[in-house]
Amino acid sequence: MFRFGCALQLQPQHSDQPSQLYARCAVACHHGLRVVRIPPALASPLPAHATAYVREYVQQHRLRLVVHAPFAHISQLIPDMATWVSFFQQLGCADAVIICHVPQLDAPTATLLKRLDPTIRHYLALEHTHHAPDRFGAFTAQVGIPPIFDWQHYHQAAPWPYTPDRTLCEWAARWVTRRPLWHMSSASAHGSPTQHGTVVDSSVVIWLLRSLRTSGHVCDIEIESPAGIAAWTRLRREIQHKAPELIPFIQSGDTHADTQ
Amino acid sequence: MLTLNESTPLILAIVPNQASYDKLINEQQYCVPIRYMATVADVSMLACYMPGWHPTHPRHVTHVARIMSYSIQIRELIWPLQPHHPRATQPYVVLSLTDIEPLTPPIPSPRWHRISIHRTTTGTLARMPYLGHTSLRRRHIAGLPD
Repeated sequence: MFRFGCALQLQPQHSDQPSQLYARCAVACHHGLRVVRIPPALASPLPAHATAYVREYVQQHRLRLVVHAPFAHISQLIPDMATWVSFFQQLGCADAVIICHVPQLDAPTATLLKRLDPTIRHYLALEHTHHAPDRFGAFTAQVGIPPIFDWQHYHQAAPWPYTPDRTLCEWAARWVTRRPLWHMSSASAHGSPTQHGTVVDSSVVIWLLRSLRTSGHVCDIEIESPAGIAAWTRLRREIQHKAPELIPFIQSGDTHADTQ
Repeated sequence: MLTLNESTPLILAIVPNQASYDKLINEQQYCVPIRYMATVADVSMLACYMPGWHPTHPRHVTHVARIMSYSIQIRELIWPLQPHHPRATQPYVVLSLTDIEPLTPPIPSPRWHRISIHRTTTGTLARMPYLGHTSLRRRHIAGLPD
């Protein structure tokens, strides 16, 4: 079963943390998303009176919470990571993800990642950015933290042989205790090549989803697009039109079993 | 300050009784059960529909307001005078409003009588001669460019 998520931009912004958190989860569910991206500022332990209803909602809809760490050295993020871990534990989200970027694939960074607290390592995942895919894959295997495949970065790195489907399946197999997560975005047509476009290339998504189906992997997909829910709605419609056989395997409601 | 345009999302919501109307006008708050959170969380405007209880404009949309923030509260804290209400212990979404303004003229609803919460846009509301019908004629909504 495949589950999707995307960034949400909600109005108005002047609300308290539990209400904003609940609203994000409710809006995501309403649009058939099960992966909910939480801004780092919201991912801190909830006050006691609010924990029950947020936890109940997250558990009831089996939402997967994802926090993207800001661009910084891992050592600078450790206090924040501890806060996010407390937040996930409070909500009972064992499959939540903290996504980090690794600026340099060097020995000191590897040592630091290996020495992190086991509870932080449980939630941590490293996102592929500008490195050569082979080198990044080897680094994540060395430090024992699952890699996040990012289509746009892989495509821009353009390695040879060019096998994003095989790389995705290999990296998905590295997620031992949690469901694999990968990022999907297409380059902006007007901005810089590294900028996310508003429209996601549905042909690529269909190709990769079929590869995952063939290899028997379940997966969560996070769409990175400034259009947010509009991009997801369009992508779902195009999948329905071009590859209707995949629709039963996309979990977008509570009626689907989560076991396939 | 929020900038309005034709596609600014808006919820058209019922003010079910005098107590809700008083809360709306005096405390600038509007409350809905938490199951409506996904509907109200990402909208910026509220239009208030008055059903048959309203003495002067029954079945009319009479006010518009900007939504400044939302919070989740237990019903008995929102309505302390109704401790025995069947949903007294359930969480509600409280919308904090500002710039509540009467709609001139009010929009009648000759056909739709069972409105609870309906999502639309400011541009659509501004063009409605009556609920359930759109036309090119526009009425003025404060903050929305003509």
